[in-house]
Amino acid sequence: MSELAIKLNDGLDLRLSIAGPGARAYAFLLDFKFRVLAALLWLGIGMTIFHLLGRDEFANIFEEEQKPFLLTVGIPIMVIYFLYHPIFELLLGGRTPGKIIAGIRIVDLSGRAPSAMQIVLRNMFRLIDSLPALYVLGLGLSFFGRSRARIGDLAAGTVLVHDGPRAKALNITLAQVQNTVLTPAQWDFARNLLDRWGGLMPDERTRLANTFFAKVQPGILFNAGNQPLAAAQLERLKRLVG
Amino acid sequence: MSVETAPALNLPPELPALAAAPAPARSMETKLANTAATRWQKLVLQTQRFAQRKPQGLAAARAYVAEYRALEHDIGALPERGAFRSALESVYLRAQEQLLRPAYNVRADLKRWFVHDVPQAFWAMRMEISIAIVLFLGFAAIGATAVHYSEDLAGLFMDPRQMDEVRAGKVWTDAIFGVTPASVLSFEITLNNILVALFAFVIGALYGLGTVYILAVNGLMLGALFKFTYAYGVGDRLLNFIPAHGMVELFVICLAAGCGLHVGDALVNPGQKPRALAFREAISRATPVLLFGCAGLLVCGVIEGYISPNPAVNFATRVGIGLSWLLLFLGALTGVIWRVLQVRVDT
Repeated sequence: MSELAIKLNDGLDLRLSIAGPGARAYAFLLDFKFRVLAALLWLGIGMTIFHLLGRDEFANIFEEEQKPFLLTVGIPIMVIYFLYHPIFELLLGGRTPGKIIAGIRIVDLSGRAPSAMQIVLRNMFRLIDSLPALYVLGLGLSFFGRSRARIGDLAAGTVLVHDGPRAKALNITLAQVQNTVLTPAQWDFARNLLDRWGGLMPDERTRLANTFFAKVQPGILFNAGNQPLAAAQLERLKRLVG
Repeated sequence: MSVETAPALNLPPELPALAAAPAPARSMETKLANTAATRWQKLVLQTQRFAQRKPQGLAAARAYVAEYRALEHDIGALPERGAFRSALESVYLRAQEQLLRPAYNVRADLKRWFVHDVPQAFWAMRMEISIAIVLFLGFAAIGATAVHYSEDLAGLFMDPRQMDEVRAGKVWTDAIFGVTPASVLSFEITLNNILVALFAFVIGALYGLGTVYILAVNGLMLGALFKFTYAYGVGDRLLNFIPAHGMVELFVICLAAGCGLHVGDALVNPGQKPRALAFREAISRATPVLLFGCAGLLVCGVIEGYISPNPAVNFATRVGIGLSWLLLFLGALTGVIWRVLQVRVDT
């Protein structure tokens, strides 16, 4: 199963592409890096401030006088490290900075942003997904499981999907669609062919262009191996792409 | 120069003319994009505003719903796959996320959670919780019996240094107060207990076997510890340390294990439902009880950090605190306290 099919109450069928273990691991590693960096940053700032105040209290962390250091530096570091995922997922509608970069997000089985309880559950089950070490169980399930989900996702009823194009992407898509006579799929093909034009063998690009023109404008065929003809094909492609 | 043309189309032989051959008819996507692009872009902007929680007013909200409905209609007219439809679906889902965002009422939600959800879930899982308690006590008895017959077995659960201290007539709990600050101790203990409780629950996903393992390890350890300390005459001091916090703390571990067994049971015996659905439902049922238990552990951590290690607090006071706390906890867990106080919620 690589798609989450959603039948909305509104009578519309949507399909969301489920993220695989690669995207999942990539996002996790990014987030891991961010939370470790944030925790270290907090520690560095805390130690510097305490040092400037002339209180090198981190020498022995378990003495009574260390309380201010523990409360202002030690505990926040743990909060940053352990609550990074749930807090971001709650605030960003199932996304974390790592997930945003990896282009994925968490949704519930109806395609909506997960609830607070689902986020808590999903993160709680990291305890078991991380067994026996390095997320072997969770990754194994996302590799071989039918729904490509780790136990946390199964427990919370969530799915990690590829995030759809953002607002900017809609404008790009619109610009493509509005300025051309091609359908979006045809446009993608033509754009791709244009980009690769110089690197393709003349025979091959003529064949590809002919296949394309046969779809778009049945009746137009170009013979292979003729340079001026290739130029005509190129010109025609450019006009079609817009 | 050779250009082939399909017989039906009489294309001109000159290249420039060929390059400028008449364009095909505009696609449905292009027509749609040219008529509705402004609407969609407006919807995207409005979604961003709603996501920022900026007050928009009723008229704006109505207009937003109308745009959302129109987009739904537009998507319905497009072919099922393609980058263009995918871009519009994304806009649609983001708008839906804002429109169907629940209106949180934290106070009312918490009240309903405490007064209705937690007691209801507790009674639904009373059998599994009872089984967890029986198993825990059974393993504790086995641990004590094992150490009774072979003292060396205590080494499976205790640090050799701890064992030497006990043999020398000392208990490790004596040294806690005054060495570690109470706040640090309280925090450490709470964190550890919550992790054990969560682990006992989540590992129930291994068909309940993981939870039984956690119960076995903790039960055997408790039994072995008590038997070993009593064998060297310091058991009373260990017992003196426990009552203020331990009654609820041990009960919560059993509670969490009961939740884990409930999840395991749903996997083993899903009934007519698909296993994944039964698993998910069992977890939803168990979670309020588990989280309530974890909240109880926060209080236990404070008691264990500040009261239990304090030699100035006598045994009777400790038992009094422990029993009061247990009764309060059970009262809230079972819902009795809310019935007595006549607290009601709309369900």
